[in-house]
Amino acid sequence: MSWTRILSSRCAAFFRKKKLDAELDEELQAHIELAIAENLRRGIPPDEARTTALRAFGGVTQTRETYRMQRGLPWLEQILRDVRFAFRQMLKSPGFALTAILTLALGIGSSSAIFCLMDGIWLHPMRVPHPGRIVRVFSTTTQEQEGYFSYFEYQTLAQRLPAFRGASAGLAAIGGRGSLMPRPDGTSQMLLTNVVSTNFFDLLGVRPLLGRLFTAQDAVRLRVRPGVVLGYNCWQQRFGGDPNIVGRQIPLRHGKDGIYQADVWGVLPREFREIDPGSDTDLWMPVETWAVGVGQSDLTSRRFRWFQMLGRLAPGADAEQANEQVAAIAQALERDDPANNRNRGAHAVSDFRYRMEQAGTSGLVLFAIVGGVVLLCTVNVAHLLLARALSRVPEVALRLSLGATRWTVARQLLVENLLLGLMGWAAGLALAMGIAALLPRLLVSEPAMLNAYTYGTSFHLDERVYFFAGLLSLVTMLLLAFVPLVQVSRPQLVPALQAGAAGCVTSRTSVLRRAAVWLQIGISFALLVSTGALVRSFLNTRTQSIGLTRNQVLVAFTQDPDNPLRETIQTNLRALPGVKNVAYGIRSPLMPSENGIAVKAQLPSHPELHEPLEIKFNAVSPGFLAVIGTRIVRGRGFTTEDTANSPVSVVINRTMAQKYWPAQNPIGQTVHLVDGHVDAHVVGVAEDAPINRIGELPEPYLYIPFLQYQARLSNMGEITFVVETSQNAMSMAPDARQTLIHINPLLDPMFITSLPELIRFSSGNYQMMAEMVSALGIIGLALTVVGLYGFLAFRVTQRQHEIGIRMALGASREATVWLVLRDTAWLIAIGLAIGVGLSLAAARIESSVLFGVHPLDVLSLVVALGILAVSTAIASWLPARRAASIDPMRALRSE
Amino acid sequence: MGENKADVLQGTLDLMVLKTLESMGPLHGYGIARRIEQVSGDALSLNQGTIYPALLRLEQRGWVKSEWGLSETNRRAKFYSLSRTGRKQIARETENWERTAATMARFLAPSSSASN
Repeated sequence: MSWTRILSSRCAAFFRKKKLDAELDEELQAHIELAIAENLRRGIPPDEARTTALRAFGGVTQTRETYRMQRGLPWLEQILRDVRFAFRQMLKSPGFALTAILTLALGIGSSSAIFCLMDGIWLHPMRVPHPGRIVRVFSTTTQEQEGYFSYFEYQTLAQRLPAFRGASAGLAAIGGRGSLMPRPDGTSQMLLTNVVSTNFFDLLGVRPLLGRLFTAQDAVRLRVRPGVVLGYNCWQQRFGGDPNIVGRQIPLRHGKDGIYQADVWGVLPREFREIDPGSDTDLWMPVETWAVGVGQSDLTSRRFRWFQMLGRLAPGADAEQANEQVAAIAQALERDDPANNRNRGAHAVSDFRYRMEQAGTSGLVLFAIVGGVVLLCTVNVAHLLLARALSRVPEVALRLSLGATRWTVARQLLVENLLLGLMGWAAGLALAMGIAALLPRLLVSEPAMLNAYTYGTSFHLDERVYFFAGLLSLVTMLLLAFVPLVQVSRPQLVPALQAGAAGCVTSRTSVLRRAAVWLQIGISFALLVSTGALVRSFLNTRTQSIGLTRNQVLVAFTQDPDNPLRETIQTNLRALPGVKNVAYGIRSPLMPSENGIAVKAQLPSHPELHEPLEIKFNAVSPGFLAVIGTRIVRGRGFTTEDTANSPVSVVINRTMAQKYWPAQNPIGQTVHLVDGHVDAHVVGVAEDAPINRIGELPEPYLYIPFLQYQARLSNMGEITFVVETSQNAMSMAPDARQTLIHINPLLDPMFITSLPELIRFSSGNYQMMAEMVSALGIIGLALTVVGLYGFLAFRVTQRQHEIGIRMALGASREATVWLVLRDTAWLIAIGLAIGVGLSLAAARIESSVLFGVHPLDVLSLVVALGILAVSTAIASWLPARRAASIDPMRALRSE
Repeated sequence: MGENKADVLQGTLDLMVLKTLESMGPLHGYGIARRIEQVSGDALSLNQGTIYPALLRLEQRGWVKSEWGLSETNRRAKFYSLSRTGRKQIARETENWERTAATMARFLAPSSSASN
């Protein structure tokens, strides 16, 4: 089309301006000369010939201008001119430009880095095509919202759900387990294993890095010949990145079952590593292979629920529809098989929403705080711009009165501000990159472990972070664009021209600036209060009694040897130098990647509870609670007299005692354990201790003697030795491991870690929040002090004349200082009122991420008040002193 | 500014330039301007300068080509000539113009008959 030709010709002209100008001049020159020549021929006298020619031509300059407009890209030239002018303005006051750019960079950089962090931990979608179509399906009970399914339930749902039926759609099952890979010496290492239905990779659209991935068509083959796929990190770290790994066989073992060989089919790409944020998987195993290694019962049992489901929606279906269908089928299942499915439901939620929920309150609090800091930055920059706008009033007025249109002037100012915004954005991204590189070091590392690998998380800026930073800058820039509009909308030019910078302050901008200072002080105060509460909360996780000892305790997780060996292990471990005490249980508190185990129990004292309760528990040896530091507050703990054959006794935690026997004596009450048809008697009450995570809401918990649990209820096949040591527990880990291997290589622990490590890791979230928020709180305070100082300094300059008169009329220095301070006092008072309001709002959100601190923590409030008082005093003292040192004669003459 | 006049003339000026080049062959700007003035019998008061933006416009559209040459007085001048698309364009533009003129004529005709 012709417009492309026109555009290209205009663009070409844009770059050859000089030459074309010369050509045009020559052409016009030729025109005039031709006209003069003709006029002369017609007998017009020479002096008139020229005038006539020019008259016939019209305006030469005008023609040239019209021609140029037609020729090049006038708007681009205009903008370039504006940008050049803006640069000159910046260089004229580099201090101002630098402050504005750095402030913007601080806001954009810190918030982008935090977004990067949240994105890395929680938000980023799975690296698969169309992640928006992925849905998660969970089973629900009265106690649990994100429960698991049995394989039977998965098969039923997969067949009956129309929302997942279609060419690329479907439903896949995924269950997290562990596999052991034996070494030649008989010891073994644990591989975190995801057991998946064969359609899993196809459904998600994952492509292998090496080899191939199994599909639904391979099910029959896999049933005969086991096969697995390796995760990238596993391949790199445990197989040395062997390029010939595909086709090799690796030995695998589950529990005490026999060793079998599995083919390595392929290796997954690095980007695909996790289904749940922050987890990594070594081995991806089809259910068929799991059945070969462990037996069919894990898949056929209707009560063994260990699968979660991922679905890809059919075209046209949405998560809401899927949810309705899933719920309907769950109801049908409950009707068909009430014995297994009573009170069980199911729900589906989009993967994105699931991740948002995972980020939860921590994410929300971080984001709110980041928002506060960004607002502070923007307000500060707006402050700077307004102050400068006032100083440029005469210039603007002069330009307007010389005939520039308001649009021309506004555009010029707009370009200046947008240029600042752009540079701030670039500097901010650079800052964010720097912080992102440091993030892994700032984050709490995973607990140190022997015989198990940890992979850690890395953070990088991807297009999502750029987008976020861009969005942020856009919002900021729009705000900044608003300032020039205020500047040119002021109608009274003449007074502005006459009075100069200081004299003309309209009340509108003055109120705007005041409000900005109030807001800054308010936000800063709320930030400081939050910082205080979160820092105290973190310190509490380090110092407060949490129901677990902070002494050195080694935690070794391995397979349960038979009865006499258990005693031997205890004896041998106790014989190691530095060991004070040894005990064992099924699990250790705070064990990562595990949700805690539960038994079904009925309470005869509460006949109104028709359904059996699912209560989490641990089966422990005598002395276990003493080693992990959970105190018995009533009754007794277990002793050697609680043997396999004696009456079953249980210790309950305080929450359970208070919930079910608030008025009665819990000691002697009966707890009926449904699975073994055993009546157990409560012999003691232990203090509450965290089960999975520090800061979780306390829930009823049971301790059962290990021997009794094994004899009367079930044998889990797993055991955790807890070893109290007098020196650093991790330094004892190799010796403890050797002790176990020496007894039997099969007892090589799946991992060894220590209780302090587990506690450190578990309170990691508090540490992270405290660190981030402290940093942001300090930045916020600095911004507020700078903003307040800027405002007051400007006010003093503005009132120089007035102060001069006052002093000339006999006002003392003290009175002048007081004049400024009174101004400040009001600003701060109103700002603090806003701050208290903000703190109240923040306290609501924060309460669930705090540990042992009231959200409106009095100490934090007082300290925040103190810090703000001191820093604002400093910020206002300097301008006040300057006001006092004004020489009245000079101030008056400066007009 | 004279902007109004140029605006009114714009559509017609383009056609006049094309038509002039068709009948006269390659011509410099002054020649085109003079020719238009002569043909219109001085009924049209043309600012000769307005011819240049028009020529540029036509050149950008690819209807007109330009080349430096020597005038009859041996002066270096830029000569314009019709391109092949320009030749085709004349037919289209003429048709457009006639349609517009006919429409205008129809608007004007009934009012004169009504007054009779």
